[in-house]
Amino acid sequence: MQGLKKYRRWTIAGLILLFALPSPLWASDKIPDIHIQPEVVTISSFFSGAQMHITCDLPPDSQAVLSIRGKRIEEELMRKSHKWELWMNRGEVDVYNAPTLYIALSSEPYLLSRGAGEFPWGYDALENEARFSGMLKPSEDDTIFNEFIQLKERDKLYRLYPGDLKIKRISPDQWKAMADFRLPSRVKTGTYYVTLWIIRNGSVTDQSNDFFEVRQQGLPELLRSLAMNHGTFYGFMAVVIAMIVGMLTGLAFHRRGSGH
Amino acid sequence: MHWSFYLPIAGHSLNVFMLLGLGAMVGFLSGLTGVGGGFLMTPLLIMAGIPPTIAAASDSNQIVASATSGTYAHYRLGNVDIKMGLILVTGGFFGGTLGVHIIKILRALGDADFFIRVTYVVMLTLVGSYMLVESIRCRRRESGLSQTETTLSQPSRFRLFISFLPGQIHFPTSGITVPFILPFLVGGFVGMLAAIMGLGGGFIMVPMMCYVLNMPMHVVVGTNLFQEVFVCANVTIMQATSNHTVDLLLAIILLIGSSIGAQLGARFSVRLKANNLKTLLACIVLAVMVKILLSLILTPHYMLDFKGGE
Repeated sequence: MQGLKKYRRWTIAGLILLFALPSPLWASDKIPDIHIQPEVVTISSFFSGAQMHITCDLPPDSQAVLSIRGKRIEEELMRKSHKWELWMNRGEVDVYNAPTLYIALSSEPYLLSRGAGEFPWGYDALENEARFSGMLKPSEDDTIFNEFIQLKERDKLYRLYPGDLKIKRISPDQWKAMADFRLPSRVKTGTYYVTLWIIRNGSVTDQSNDFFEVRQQGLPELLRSLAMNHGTFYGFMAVVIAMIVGMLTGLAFHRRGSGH
Repeated sequence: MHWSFYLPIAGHSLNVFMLLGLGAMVGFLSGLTGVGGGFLMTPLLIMAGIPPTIAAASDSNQIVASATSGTYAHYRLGNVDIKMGLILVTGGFFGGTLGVHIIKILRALGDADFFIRVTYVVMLTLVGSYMLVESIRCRRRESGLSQTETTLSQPSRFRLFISFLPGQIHFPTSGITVPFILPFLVGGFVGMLAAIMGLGGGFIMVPMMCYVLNMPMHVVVGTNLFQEVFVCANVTIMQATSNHTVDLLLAIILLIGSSIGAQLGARFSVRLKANNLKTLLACIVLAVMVKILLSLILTPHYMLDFKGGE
């Protein structure tokens, strides 16, 4: 009996050690951390977009896709149509559940091509989530979505970077995904969600999420707050400033002119 | 250093020198011809990527500055008919209110966008062509090609008719006598069109003052700028209160450029002959008309646009 007790003690200690020590197998299944630089993007008077740098550890022999998306809002659009041989805005189309901003980068170009598969990223995924209403037939959803994407790409708010997610081998067991891209100056304040999918043998094996913030400060924040919360005061202030500047320039020119 | 400035209401940044240049160019034309420049500046700002509603509202604010600067310059030269300007502003207030109601009805019926664009094309074609033809005729008269026409010219039936209307008022600065109702109706008509088309209305007001009120060109320019100060100040306050679409930073950058441009334009206008001014304005008006007409005819690149577009 004494011998059995002795073996049981050793067995329990062994089991505790087995779970407590970091095993290589467990480490590879750990959800990777995303590192975002900067974590807070500040919009001040001279803001002209922001350079973003995102990195994430990867298991060896894997591919990855990184997406950045803003909050989902309703967008009101006008649709052009041809009537009496003339083009005009003739009807409203509302888009629901589409993000304000969408940027995606992939390690392999095919991962972001449309029709590549049922993946939770890229324009196909956005199309499945988006809803449309207004002046359109049900069969036109596809056309409207493509036109919506064109409009967003024009403003640099939607962008795909196939093959631009760089993968670097730090060591045989440690790979790193690195993304460098520019946030457009049209980016709105709020929280932006970053998702990284790890792909091995054509299927998603892991997913990691993080976020960063975009905030306004200084003069832009002061003016935006005045314009939105005290519109009439802001309007009068704008008129008075305009008149003063106009008069000052008039006076300055008159003096210069009379000096000659 | 990108020299970009973030515009908090427009929601994105633009190069400060590009905006100053745009302001100076439009301000120069404003000082030269007396037209506020809204019909030029708004499309240029939209092309630079500013949302249309914000472009139009912020432009009204910068016109307040360039018009104030231009009015001051013309006032010093004795070219502002304040009495006439105040009657035009009063008429414009009533006409503007009527125009706002008309546009509400049109929006409810649909096709408002089409109506606005067609109104632009029709008005710009009429105004531009008439001014161009008139300036060519005047040139011919001056060069003595049609002296017989000059000697035979007599007051038109229209002038005879208005001379018999009651409430005649003399305007010493303009050197004309017209019934009160005439400038009031002109102000009202232009105010109504300006409200429908979303502009200060200078490009319609200038020819109306010239050809309907028979005011001399040098007084027309200063007086139009004077009445535009009031019209655009009203639009700025209305837009800031109801739609929050006035971008003060954008307006300030534009108005610095436009105030300087307006001064230079006003000085340059003294050196130009009235006929040359008319020809220049007619060409600008017709060029804008062609641009709008092409946007109606040519297949657009984008079939969707954010609401409030164009």
